[in-house]
Amino acid sequence: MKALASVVGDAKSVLPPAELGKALENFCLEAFRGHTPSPAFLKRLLNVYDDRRSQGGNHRQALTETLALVLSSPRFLYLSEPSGALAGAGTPAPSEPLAPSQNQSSGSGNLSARDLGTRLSYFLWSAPPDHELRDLAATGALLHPEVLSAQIGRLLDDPRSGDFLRPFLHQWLRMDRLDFFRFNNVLFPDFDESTKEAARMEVYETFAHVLRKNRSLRELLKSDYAVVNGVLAQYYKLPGVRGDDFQVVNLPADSPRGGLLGMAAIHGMGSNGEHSSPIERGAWVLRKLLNDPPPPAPANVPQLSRLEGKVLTTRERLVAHQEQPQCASCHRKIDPIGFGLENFDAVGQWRTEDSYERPGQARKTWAVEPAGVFHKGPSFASYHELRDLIQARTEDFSRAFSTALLQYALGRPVSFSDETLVERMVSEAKTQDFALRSFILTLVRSDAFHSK
Amino acid sequence: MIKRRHFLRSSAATLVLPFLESVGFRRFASAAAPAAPAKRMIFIAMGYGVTQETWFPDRAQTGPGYVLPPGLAPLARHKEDLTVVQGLSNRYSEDAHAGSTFWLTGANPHEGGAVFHNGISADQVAAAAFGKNTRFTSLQLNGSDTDLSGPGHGQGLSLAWDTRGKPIGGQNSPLAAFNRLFSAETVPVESLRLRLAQKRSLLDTVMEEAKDLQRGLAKADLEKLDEYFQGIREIEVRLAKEEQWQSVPKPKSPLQAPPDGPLGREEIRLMYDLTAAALQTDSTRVVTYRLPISNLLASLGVKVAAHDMSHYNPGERMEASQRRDAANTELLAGLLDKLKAVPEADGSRLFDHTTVVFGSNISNVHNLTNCPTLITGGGAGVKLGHHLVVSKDTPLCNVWLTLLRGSGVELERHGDSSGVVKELIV
Repeated sequence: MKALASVVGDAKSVLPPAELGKALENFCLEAFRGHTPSPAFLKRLLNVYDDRRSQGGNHRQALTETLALVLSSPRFLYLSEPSGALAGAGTPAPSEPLAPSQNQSSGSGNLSARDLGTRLSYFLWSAPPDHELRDLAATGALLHPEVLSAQIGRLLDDPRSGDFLRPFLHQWLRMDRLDFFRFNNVLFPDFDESTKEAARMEVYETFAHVLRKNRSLRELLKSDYAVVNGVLAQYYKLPGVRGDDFQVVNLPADSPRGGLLGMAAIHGMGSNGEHSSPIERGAWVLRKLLNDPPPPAPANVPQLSRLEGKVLTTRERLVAHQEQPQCASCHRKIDPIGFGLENFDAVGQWRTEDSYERPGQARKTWAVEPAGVFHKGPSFASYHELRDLIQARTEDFSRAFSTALLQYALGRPVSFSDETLVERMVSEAKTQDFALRSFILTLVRSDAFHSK
Repeated sequence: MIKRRHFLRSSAATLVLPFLESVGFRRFASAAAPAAPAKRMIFIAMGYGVTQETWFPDRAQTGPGYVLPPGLAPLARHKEDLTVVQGLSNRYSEDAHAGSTFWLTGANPHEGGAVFHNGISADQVAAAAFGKNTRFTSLQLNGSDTDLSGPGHGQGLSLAWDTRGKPIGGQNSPLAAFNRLFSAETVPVESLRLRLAQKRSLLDTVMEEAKDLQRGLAKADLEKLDEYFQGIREIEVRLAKEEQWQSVPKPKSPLQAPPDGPLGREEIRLMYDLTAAALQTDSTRVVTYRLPISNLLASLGVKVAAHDMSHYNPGERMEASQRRDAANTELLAGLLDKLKAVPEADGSRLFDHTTVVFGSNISNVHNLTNCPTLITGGGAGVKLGHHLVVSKDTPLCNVWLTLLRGSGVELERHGDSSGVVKELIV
């Protein structure tokens, strides 16, 4: 917008054409992310402006229409990455090897430096490159590994990286489920809109903390701290936290909080607004944390009506899943995990008993029994043991995370040919105890990220 | 209104006058036969399905003698003129959260490995066939609600999807629809002409840019850019139509301008009035309406949220679902009253030349088989007054094919259709 500041004026403005032309050229340069507009295009823009004025439009109206045209152009709307001979400035010619670096290989793809910069910026900021990044791209310097690494660090340190984390986490962890159901505020008066928002932010802020400090991914499975604000701290009964800002708070040794499995938002996502859903939760853990997704449910599964109308415990109700072999084959993996999380109610509060009531009929209350066994795996006596077992599978979690990150960064589904890259992201991160930034660095330096 | 006596006095001159609907005279043998009233189609979708237990008639009672279930009771006065069909489904529908996205298209969302894919909707097939001669090729109406717990209708800007499977927008309130249909243009015709010429020039400019960009792109990118070109083409087609109609004044509205803002029940009633008015003035011949849900519930004083209501169990949620069904059916009965009250030039009723479909892609909860489908109106010449149960998993697109063909559209197939529904053929 700075390019336009001098010409926006007001309805009555009259502008010398040269000044307007220059301003429009600068605007195009910004809108087209460094691509210089052709003189023919600029001439047409000025014609549009003049036509509108001659039809009786004032300066503001004419300028608006001209700018709208720029913003409707394909060079603004699309990330164009021309391949081959017509690639823009800074493309490495086939005969020139990139400056080698000891233990940081840089991708040797066919993307120009400018297009690489744009891709990087949209990955880590969801926005076009700023001037520093564009300048480095224009000279080709961005293709050098040290420069690229430094820029990755700069972009991640910038607050604009929140525009990567929030959409990424929302899409990857399917956080849209948090808004599927209205939470019953008669049953759960404390989980009002502002608590729900704080719970949602906890997921983002926790990742942001891990990213900022480049901590290990394992802390997202279990940690001795939580990242909360005043509202959420009160909800979790954690003392000493005030205000709206999120801060890192140390947890007592036996706290169920710390990591995704202790977060109210995650448990809320695994509920229907009134009751917890062990199946949703179990399936989510398998998909997102353990990289072992169950196949999709068969189409049009009927409601199991054998138990219709009976007042039963959750386990009793869900045991029907184990009766049919085609249901049991998946549910024996899903259900134990979901039951292991039953100490959390529909809004993520800790409970030791649960109840079920049919209107006008009986009410049944029972003690929560989280103990269970992973299918063909270890047993656990409590939520804490379950969480420890899940944390022990940080490598699987890394794989799930890497796959999602690749998909997000490259804007396409992950295919068989990406497996090598995913493995490399995991193995390189492993040498750094699964530090979060390692995954991003490996990905950005890969051939796939440097190629059309 | 021209009185009959006046007409008779000047009968010699009458023969050269254009056919005047308001006169409503019986034509003389020597006069050119007027065209039969045109076919029209209306598609109305509920979101979140229906209350299984009370909306569907008893499967054992097929034919004309079936008992209208409680959910359809408000339609009793129209029972002879409507047909309920059970057993239909969209083969590729697996995700209830897709709502109405594929109701009229029957497309495979993952065709060719795509993350999302859709096809042309039945109303657009009709629009291509009989939308040429009306100001609006088709009209897309939507409920005005933005439901926080999911829209119930899934993706899309309306029920309509174009030949490329892209969503088509519409009007989201009665006032917006009224303005589009009847509000007079305040700008003089010559200025309009200049504006259209200028819009053309804008399109040329971006086309140039796009062609410039085309050079050097890989194949997959070229396909993407082709979508851009097609979008431009569509705007050009629309401009051409605007140009054609700009010197024709809009018809006088048969009803008053609606107030801004009624929601729910009143909103639906007004939209139905506008639908009838749009057809009556021949502003369009194809209308789709994506019904509001949470606004409807709110206007009924129901406290349960729409998505929660759809996952009903006996108790508060099911009652909400049934009240919603009752309201929808009552309002539909009102629309049918309106369509029956509008006379055509030949003495028949607008209703006799219109096909109305009322239904949903979702049966109830997450069940997508047995899409609730209610067909009425004489436009397609199908069997009315019956309850039909077709064989399980008959493609819903078979109904669309049957109705489109019955409306005079020559069509091989639509979506995943396997043929017509022979039980509907008279």
